[in-house]
Amino acid sequence: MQSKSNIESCFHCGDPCVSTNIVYKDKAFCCRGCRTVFQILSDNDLTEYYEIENLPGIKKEAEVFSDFTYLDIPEIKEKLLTFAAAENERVTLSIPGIHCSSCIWLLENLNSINSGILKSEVNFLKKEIDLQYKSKVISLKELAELLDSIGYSPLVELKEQDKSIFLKKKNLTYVYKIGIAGFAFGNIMLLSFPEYFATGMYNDKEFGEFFGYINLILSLPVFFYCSIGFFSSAWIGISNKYLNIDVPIALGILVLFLRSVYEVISNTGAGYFDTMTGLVFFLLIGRWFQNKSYQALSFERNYKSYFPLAVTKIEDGKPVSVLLKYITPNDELIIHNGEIIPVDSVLLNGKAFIDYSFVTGEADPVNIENGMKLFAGGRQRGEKIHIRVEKEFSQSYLMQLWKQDSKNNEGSDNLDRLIDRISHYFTAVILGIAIATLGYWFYINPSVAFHAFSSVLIIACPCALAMTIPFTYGNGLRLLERCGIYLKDAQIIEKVSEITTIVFDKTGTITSSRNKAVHYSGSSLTPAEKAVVSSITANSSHPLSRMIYNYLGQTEEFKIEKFTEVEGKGISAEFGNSHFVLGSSDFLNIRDSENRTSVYLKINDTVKGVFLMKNEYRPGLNDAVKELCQKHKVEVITGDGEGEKERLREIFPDESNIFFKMDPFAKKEHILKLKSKAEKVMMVGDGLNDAGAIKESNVGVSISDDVFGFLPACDVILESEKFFKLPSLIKFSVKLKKLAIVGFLISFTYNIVGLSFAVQGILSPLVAAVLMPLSSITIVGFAVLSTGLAARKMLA
Amino acid sequence: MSALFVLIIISLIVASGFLVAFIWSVRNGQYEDDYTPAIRMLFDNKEKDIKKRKTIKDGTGKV
Repeated sequence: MQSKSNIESCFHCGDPCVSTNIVYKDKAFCCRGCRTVFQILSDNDLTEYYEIENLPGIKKEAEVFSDFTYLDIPEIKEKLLTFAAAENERVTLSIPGIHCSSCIWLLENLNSINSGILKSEVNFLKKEIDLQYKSKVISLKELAELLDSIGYSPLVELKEQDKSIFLKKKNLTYVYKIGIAGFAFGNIMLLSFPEYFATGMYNDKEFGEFFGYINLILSLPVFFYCSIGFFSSAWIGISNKYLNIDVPIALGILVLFLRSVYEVISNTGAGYFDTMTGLVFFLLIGRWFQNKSYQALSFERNYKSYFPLAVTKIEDGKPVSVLLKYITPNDELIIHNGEIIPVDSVLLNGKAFIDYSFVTGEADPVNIENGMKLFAGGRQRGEKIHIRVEKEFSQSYLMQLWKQDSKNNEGSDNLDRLIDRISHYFTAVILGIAIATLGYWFYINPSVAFHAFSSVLIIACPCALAMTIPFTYGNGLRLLERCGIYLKDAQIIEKVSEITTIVFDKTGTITSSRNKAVHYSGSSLTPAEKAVVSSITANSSHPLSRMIYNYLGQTEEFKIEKFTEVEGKGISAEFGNSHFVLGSSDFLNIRDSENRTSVYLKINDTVKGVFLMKNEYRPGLNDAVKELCQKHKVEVITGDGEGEKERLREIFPDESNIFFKMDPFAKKEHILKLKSKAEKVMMVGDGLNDAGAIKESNVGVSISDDVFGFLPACDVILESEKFFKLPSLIKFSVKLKKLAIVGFLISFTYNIVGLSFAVQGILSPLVAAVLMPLSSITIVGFAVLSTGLAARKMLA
Repeated sequence: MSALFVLIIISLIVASGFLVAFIWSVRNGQYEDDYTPAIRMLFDNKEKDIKKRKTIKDGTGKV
């Protein structure tokens, strides 16, 4: 199914081909990067890649220097490799670029490119590749370079291994526990059937005893292994002096088990083993359902994952790759195009053009002169530069902001949870009823007293209550995921529903970093001039050239001469007798005091005009703000100057505050100030400059074009195209909380019915065995259906 | 009636066998990735394809 050569869009990635001269084997490409990838693949007979999915290719960021020499450092290698023997090594690398089945096919056929690769296996959901290779044929570094060369750059991160392994284990134990509890529940249920119909023909004493003992044996692993979590959580609650939801659950399980064992051994009844195992089984499913994790997303990334693992240091006149933590003041480092400045330092030589947008929020790159200071976190655009380290990594200026771990008052958070507030009273009330029942029957009929007392504790065991939240919020989480909104955990839904103030960052958050609108001002251009400018920009791969090219639209293509491009500065070319220069104000020696992205055009000796790039506000922003303003306070804090004030005022109503020139520290302070006024704050940001504010807010939202890339630690991740769904998220969360309360009411009704049997001392195993699953199934059904309906109405 | 006692015990043993199989499959990592294998099985094995075509051309009909 190979399509014929197509001039308009790149055969590899599908982007429009600006210049027509990048061709290989009759196929057009948008840039040299794409062509190189195709070349590699076609040389290795891997062009099937293009047949599995339409335009699977990944466009490489224009000539970004990716250096993997640090993968030769034994210390890093040791941490990354999962297995290493004499010749064979094994490693799992995270590749954010994996997105379609072509990717899987290509990455699993890597051995056609290099025979040293013995086995490669992709985990699509985790966006990971597991590689086994012969270290003599291909080293880890070469492997990374190979992946990078075909567009699948590995994201090397030294994860805090203990934590991820711990989480994985925790999820696995849930699976084991559910399996065992389900097994016991099913079998005990079957063996209990004779008991349910114990009247008449099934009444057989011998079987009753035999089944009782088998049930007892089957319930042992459920009690001692599967329900351990409930006991330990209840114990933690009691020792912290609050009654969480697990206290009545643990109490119920304990009483169920002890009473059943007593009944079987004393031969007085069949016990409630079916109820107990069923209860544990359903509760475990609830917990597991709630613990939904997004395998490829990370909410916990801190500033360290933004910085490189290792940097190039000059040692005895030679560049060496050194781990970041071993960098000391006065070391000399080399920073290549696209690399991040790891520490506060001074520029020694080279032309530094630093993009601080992710750190400070300022949109435009800055020119730095030799001898001037560079701050950690900026990204170099342009040629490679030499810098001298001033401070250690941990001492750098902005580190101070990120290092302060806000305690976010975890302890008191627990009491804020709806479920814990309810269970606090619930447990007290149940204990009261149980003791009152015990006292009452003790006077009336002591032989029933213990029976009635334990029955109350059994029937009150809040199975349905405990399942309301996991299924309501857990299903909500899944429904939100479908529309590009990812929540860290189910608890966040409740926090979102309580928000009173929403604070937006400007650059990159409410403005789109990708779409910039081009405006031309100056003397108008003739069609011929336009065509020449368009032809010139077609030859350049610089993003600004592309934008101007797109702005001018496709015209007749002229053959231009003497095309020269100064990286990051401008281009000049000749057409006929005219000399065209396009570039920054510096490049053309024009004074431009305004801080803005602009490209000047000079034809011969006259400056014709200027192309201005303005940030576009995200589509749907107007409506979203209007909707949010109805019930919430909305504010904007930005690191930029007041240049955009009027445009912002058109969108945001007069009562919302707009703050300009806020550095990352001021943003954080602002959030703290709002919180001290008892506001519940949602901070919506995009970069490290908002990281402090996001961390301090009640709900931190990160917005990103690439949700699998680096994002500051947050509670909610929002795909940038889904920005307009923010009001729906809040509305939906409020609705979910209401639905959870309805769920509570339903489960209370069941409890009251059950209790009416229990206090009379007439609770039979059959009633318990019917009520427990019935209430659980009602709750699950209600939660799933009602949240689904709400989602269809609100999130569509 | 005593046949029932034997049968129930045997059925429990069989069921336990399945439980053990389940635990083994979890431990073996079969639930870690439930997406990629489904895609992987759809890919054609290219080398075999080439051989096949050759043999058909040869007219031997052997694969």
